[in-house]
This record gives sequence, structure tokens and C-alpha cells, in this order.
Amino acid sequence: MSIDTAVDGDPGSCRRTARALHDLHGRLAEARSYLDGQAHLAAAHFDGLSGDAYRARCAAVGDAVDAAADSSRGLARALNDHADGLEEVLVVMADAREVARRELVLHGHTIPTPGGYATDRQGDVYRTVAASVQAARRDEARLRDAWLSALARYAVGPVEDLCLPDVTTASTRPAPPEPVASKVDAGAPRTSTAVPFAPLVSTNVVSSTTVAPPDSVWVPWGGGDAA
Amino acid sequence: MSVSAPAAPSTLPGMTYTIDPALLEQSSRDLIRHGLDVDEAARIPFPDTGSTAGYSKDAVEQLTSHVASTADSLSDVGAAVERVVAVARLTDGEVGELFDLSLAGAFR
Repeated sequence: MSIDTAVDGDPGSCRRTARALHDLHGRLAEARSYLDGQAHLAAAHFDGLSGDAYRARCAAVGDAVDAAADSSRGLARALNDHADGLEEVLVVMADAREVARRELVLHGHTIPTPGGYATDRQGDVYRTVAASVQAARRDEARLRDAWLSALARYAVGPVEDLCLPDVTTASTRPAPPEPVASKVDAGAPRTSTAVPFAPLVSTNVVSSTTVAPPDSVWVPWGGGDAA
Repeated sequence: MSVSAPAAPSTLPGMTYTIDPALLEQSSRDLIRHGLDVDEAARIPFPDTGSTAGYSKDAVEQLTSHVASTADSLSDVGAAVERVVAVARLTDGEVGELFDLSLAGAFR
């Protein structure tokens, strides 16, 4: 089965939006602070029923401003987190393509399964790459769920209007199968569960201790278990 | 008819309530400016979040729509204050309780 390393999404675009939301939050916070002052304007400055109505209106607008400020700040933070995670996934995919370019075959963003003439080493490399990409896909799915949760949490209007998918269902969907070479993940602590490629890329050697053997392989030219 | 702005805070002659025209005129300008600032900052680009980009766009649109409405409210309150102060001046300070009640409607 071929390995698809294409990833949708642009961290730069997410960060640009996050910055704009952060700026918006700043303006809203200033407006909120000013409205707070007006909502408590002393009667000595504006008395009577109209003064009371003014203070009440300023308080009401302040609440609307507050909601927008909370939403913009929450979305900005969530978007930055999304961009961070997306970048990690993209790095793993880029590493996978780099390894494939050196050791295997690469068609655009796709790494085809090694053919019948592939060496054992190529088989090992392919399994390592597949495991890492699989782990990155799980991270990508978690990022998606976290972002959808943030959209629901920080919606400033009716959440139903956003027609979001059921995030609860999405986050509890069955996880993809465990990576073939999960023992490779022995590097420094990372937030991502993706298997790092650095040793493979830098040394160009796959250690026999880092690649788990396939669970069962049917060997047509031998092996006592083969029928 | 001319009414000079008294030193703040003040009670205009014959009024049944106290008003500080100079301070409220400044409030009016500040509220309108905040409304414009917020409206300008509400131009948010849509993020490319991948497979959720459509939902992200809808959420940003919902937020910016809410912010635009809020910015309008800020400007509306500012304009209402301006009208109240203008009317208070035009009546030469003869603003009674009933007139106060009608002015209060400017903020609803």
C-alpha cells in the first residue's frame, strides 16, 4: 500500500489569522475597558433617566464586546496551537519524503510500496517510514479534533450555525493501528507521537534494533509455515 | 439661542438633572473612535486549517459579523450621546423629567 505524505493546511496562514485575531482582541479589550468606565460614570456627570439608560447601554455593549474579545483570544491561541502541530506533521512528512527520495521511490507526495526486487533494507526503511507517517496522521487527526472543539468552544454565536461535525464522536473514533516500527521512537521527548527520522537521515543506516520485525510475512519461496 | 458649555461638571439652569456636556461630548467621540477601531480590526483573513477550512471560515465569519454589529453599537451609543448633549444645549437647559424620559430612549 502506498504512503501518502500530503498534508492539507498552511501553518503560515493560521498564524496570520491568529495575529489578526490577537490584534482584534487588543482593540476589543480597549473598548471594553472604556465602556466599563462609562457604565460606571458618576451621576455628577450624567444624571437622570437618560444617564441611567446610557450607563445600562454601555454595560450591555460591554458584554457583547467581552464575548467577542474572549472568542478572538481563544481562537487566536487555538490557531497558534494548530499551526504548531501542523508544522510538526509537515516536518515528519517532509522527512519521510526525503528518506524515500534517498532509499525508495517518490512520486510527488506518494511513496509507492517497494516492488518485488526491493532489498531487505528497502523493506525495513519502508516500514519505518510507514510507521512514522501513520503516527503523524494520528497527530493530524487529534489536531483536527482539537481545532473543531475550539471552534465550538469559542463560537460567539449559536454553535449550530457552524454545522460542526460531532467532535465527541471524532475524538473517540478508533485509532489507526499501531505503527509497524514503534520501537524507533526513542528520541527526545516530543509532543508529537510521530517517529523521528533524524537518525535514519543522518546516518543513512537502519539499526536492526530499531525496526520491529513484521508480524507475519508470507515467504513464497520457503519457510515451513507457508502452505 | 446660545448656550455656552459650562465648566464640567455642571448643572445647567432649570434642568432637572445634572449633565456634563464637555465630558459627554468627549465620550461621544471616544465611543465612535472605538467603534471605528474595532471595525477596522475585524478584517480577519480566513485560515487554511486543512480539512476543517470550511468550518474555520464559517467561525471567522460568525465572529466578524458579531464584531461588526458590536462596532455599530459603539458608534450608535456615541452618536446618541452627541444627540442628547445637543438637545440639552438647544433647550437652553429647560429639560424636565418628561424630556429626560424621551432622551433616555436614545440609548435603547
